[in-house]
Amino acid sequence: MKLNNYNINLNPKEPSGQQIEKHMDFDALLGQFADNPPPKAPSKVRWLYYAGGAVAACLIGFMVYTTVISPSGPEMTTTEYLATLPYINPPIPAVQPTFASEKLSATKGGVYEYENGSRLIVPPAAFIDAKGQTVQGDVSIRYREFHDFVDFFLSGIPMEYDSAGIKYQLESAGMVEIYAEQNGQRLNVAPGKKIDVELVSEIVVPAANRGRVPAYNIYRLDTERRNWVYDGVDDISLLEEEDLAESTDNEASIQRKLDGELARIQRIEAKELAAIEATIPKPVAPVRPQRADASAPVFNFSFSEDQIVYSEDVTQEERANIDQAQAALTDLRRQYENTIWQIAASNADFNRQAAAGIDWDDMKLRQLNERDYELTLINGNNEMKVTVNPVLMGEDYDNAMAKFNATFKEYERQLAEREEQLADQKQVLEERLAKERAIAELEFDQQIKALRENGQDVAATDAVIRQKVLNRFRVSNLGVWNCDRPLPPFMVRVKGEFIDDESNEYAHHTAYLVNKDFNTVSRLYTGKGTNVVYSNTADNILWLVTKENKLAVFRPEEFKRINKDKDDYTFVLNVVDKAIETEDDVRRILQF
Amino acid sequence: MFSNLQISRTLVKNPVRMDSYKKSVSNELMQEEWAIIQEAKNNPAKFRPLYNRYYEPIFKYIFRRTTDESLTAEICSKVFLKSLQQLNRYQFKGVPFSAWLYRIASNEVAQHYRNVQKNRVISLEEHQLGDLIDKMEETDHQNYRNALIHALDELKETDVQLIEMRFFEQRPFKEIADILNITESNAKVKTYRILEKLRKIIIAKSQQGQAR
Repeated sequence: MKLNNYNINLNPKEPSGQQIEKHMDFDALLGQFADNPPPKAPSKVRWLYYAGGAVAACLIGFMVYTTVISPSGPEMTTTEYLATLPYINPPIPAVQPTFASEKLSATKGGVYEYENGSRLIVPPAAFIDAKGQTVQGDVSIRYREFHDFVDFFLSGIPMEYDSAGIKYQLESAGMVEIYAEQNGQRLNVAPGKKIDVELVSEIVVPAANRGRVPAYNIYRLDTERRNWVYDGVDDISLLEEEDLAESTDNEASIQRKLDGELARIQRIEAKELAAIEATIPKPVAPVRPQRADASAPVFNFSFSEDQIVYSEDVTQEERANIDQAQAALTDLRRQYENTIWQIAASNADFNRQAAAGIDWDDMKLRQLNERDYELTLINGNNEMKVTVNPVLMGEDYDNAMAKFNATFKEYERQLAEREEQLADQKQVLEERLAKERAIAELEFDQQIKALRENGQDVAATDAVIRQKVLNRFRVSNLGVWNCDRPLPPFMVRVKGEFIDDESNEYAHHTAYLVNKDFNTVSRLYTGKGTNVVYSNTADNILWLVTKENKLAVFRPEEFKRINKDKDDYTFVLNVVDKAIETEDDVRRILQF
Repeated sequence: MFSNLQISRTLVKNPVRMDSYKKSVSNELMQEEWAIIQEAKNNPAKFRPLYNRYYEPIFKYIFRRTTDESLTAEICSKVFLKSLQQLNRYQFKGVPFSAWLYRIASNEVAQHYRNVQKNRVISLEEHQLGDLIDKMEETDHQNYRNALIHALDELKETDVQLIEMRFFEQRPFKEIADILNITESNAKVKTYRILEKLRKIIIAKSQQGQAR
C-alpha cells in the first residue's frame, strides 16, 4: 500500500535462513575491508589509542589471572572455562579412536571401504596441494569414525553448537574424520569436487518409533571459528538387521519384524517416487546474476575467436570433439557477452601484481560450480590458476536481473505445473503405501497384544533401541563431519560441587555428562556453583578424568537420589582405581 | 486517553520475547563478544563469529524495511563493512554488540532511502496491527485499521522506527533502548507519546472527514 511518506507492506514473506545464508560471504567482506580500510587517526590520537590499548591489555591480563589462575578469584562459567581449552581436547591423549589408512589413486579416484561397510567415493582429480596444484599419483586416505559417547569423549571433539548466540548440544547419528596426505603433506579437496560419504552407524530411538528414521543434519567442524557449521540435511535410511532377529517371538523380535516391513515399504516408496519423478524432467533453475563488487579485482576478456579452424589432418573423431568445444565456446559467448570476471574471494593468496605484469598468450576457463569458474592464464610454459565469478555492472546487471526474474517466474510456473501433473500419481502411491503400513502396524499391535495376554509384560514403548542406519552426504572439505541434530535443553538444573568419596575436591576439571536416551556427551566445568542440567526421565552418567588418569564416576542410580527441590548438590564421585590405558577400560567403567 | 494502567499493559507485551532477549544477551555472551571484538580490532578475520551470529538478524531487520532481497543483501554487506571499519571506535558499554549493528543498519537504511528519494517500507503483519489497535483500546477494528495505517504515514521516521520495533517486531524495551542508545525508561515514554500522537492524528482526521 503506497501512502504519502511510507509504503506499507502487509504480511511480508521473509526469506528463509537458507536463502539468507546464500548472501553470507565473510571472505568477501574481508576483501572489501582490505580495500577500504578505516581512515587512520592523526598521530596524537593514535598515541592515545596505543596507550588505551596498553591499559586494556593489562586489564585483560589481570582478568585472565583472576579468573583462570587465581584459585581465590571469581568462578567461571562452563563457556568461559571451555574457551580457555584447545577446541579439540582429547582428555586422555594416549587413548583415542584410531585412524584407518588406505592408498587411493588421486588421478583416477576410487572407492575406499571401511571395515564396517562405510564408504568414501572419491572422484578423479579430487585433491589439491597447499599451492593449489591438482595432485597426481597415490594419496593416503586417513579415516576414522565416532559412534557413541565413549568415542566422542575420547576424541575430545566438542558436541556443543552455537547458533546465533544460543548454545545447543548436538546429538549424533555418527561422525567421521577424513584426511588425505601425500608425502606427509596434508591435502585439500579441489574446488568443485566433492567426496561422497556413506557412513554406516547406529542411532538411538524409542522402541515405539522403530522403523521411523528421525531427521538429522550435516555439520562440519570449523576449528577456526570454534563451532559447527551447518551443511545441509543428512540423507539417512534404515539398514536391515537380519542377524539380530531372534528365533523366539518376544516384543523385541516382533518390533524388529515391523521395523523390517516398514523399511521395505520405505524403500519401495523411494524407488517408485523416483520413477514417478523421472516421467517428467525437472526444470532447471536459472542462475541468479551477480553484481560486480567495485572493490574486487576483475578480468575482462571476450570470446571473440569463436571460429575454430580445422587443420587438414584432423580425424573424424577429433572433429566431433572440436565441434563440441566450438558449441561450448559459442554458448559461453552468448551467455557472457557483457560479463566481467571478478576474482573470487576464495583466492586469498592471489598475486594481482604478478598477474598484471605478464602478457598472457592464452587462457582456459572451466566451470567448477554454479558460481565459480577456474581461469587458467597461460604464457608459454607458465600457468596461473585463479577462481573467478562472472559478474555484471550497471545496466547489464539490471537487464540480467530482469531476465532472471522473468525466467525464474517461468521456472516456478513449470515447477508448479510439474508438481500438479505428478500429484495424482504420488497420491495413489501414498495411499497404497499408507494401507500397507497400517496393515503392518495392525499386525504388530495384534501380536504384541497376544504376547501380553500370555503374560509377557514388557514395556516396549518406554524402552530405547539402537537401529543401524546409512547416512549419505557429500563433503567439500577434509576434516570432521557430523550427522546430528540440536537437542532441546534438559529440564533439571542444580548447582554442583564435585568431590570424591575421600572428600578430595575437583574444582577445576572438565566433567562429562551423558543421557542414555541421546547419543552425545556434554562437557561442563566443575567450578563451584556450576549448573548441571540433566533429564530426570532418563538414565544419566557423569564422570571426570583425574590427574592420575583415572575416571571418577557419578552413576545413574545416584542421579535418581538427587533432591530436585534443592538448588545445590554435591556430586560425590567414585574414583575407579585403574589408570586408563585402552578404550575398553573406558567402556567397561562407563557402561550403563 | 490512556491511563497508567493501559500503558503498563503495553509495556509488558510479549513476555516470551523479552525473556529470549535477556537470555540471548547474557553478561556471559556480552563478555565473550567483547573479547572477540578486541581481537578483531587487531585482526579483522577474528570478526567472523560475530558476522556469522548476526548476519541473519540484521538481514531480516533490513529486509523488513526494504522487502527487496538483493537490495537487503547489498545494504547488509555495507553494514558489516562499516562495522569493521568503525570497530576501533567501538567501546563496550554493557550493551549487546547487536544493538550497535542494528544502529548502523538503521542509518544505512535511512541513507539508502535518502539517496534514492523513495518512500521507505514499513512491514507488518495484519494481526500486529490488530494488537496495536487493542492497545489503543479500540473495538472497531475494521474502521480503525485503515485510520491507523494512514496515521502511521504522518509520523516522523524516528517515531515509526520505535513503533515498528516495539509492535511489529515485538522487541522488548530494553533492546529498543539499546539500539536507539537511550534509556529503557525513555523508550517507554517515547512509545507512550507516539501512541498518543497516533490517536490524536486519527481523531483529527476523523473530524476533518465529518466536517466535509
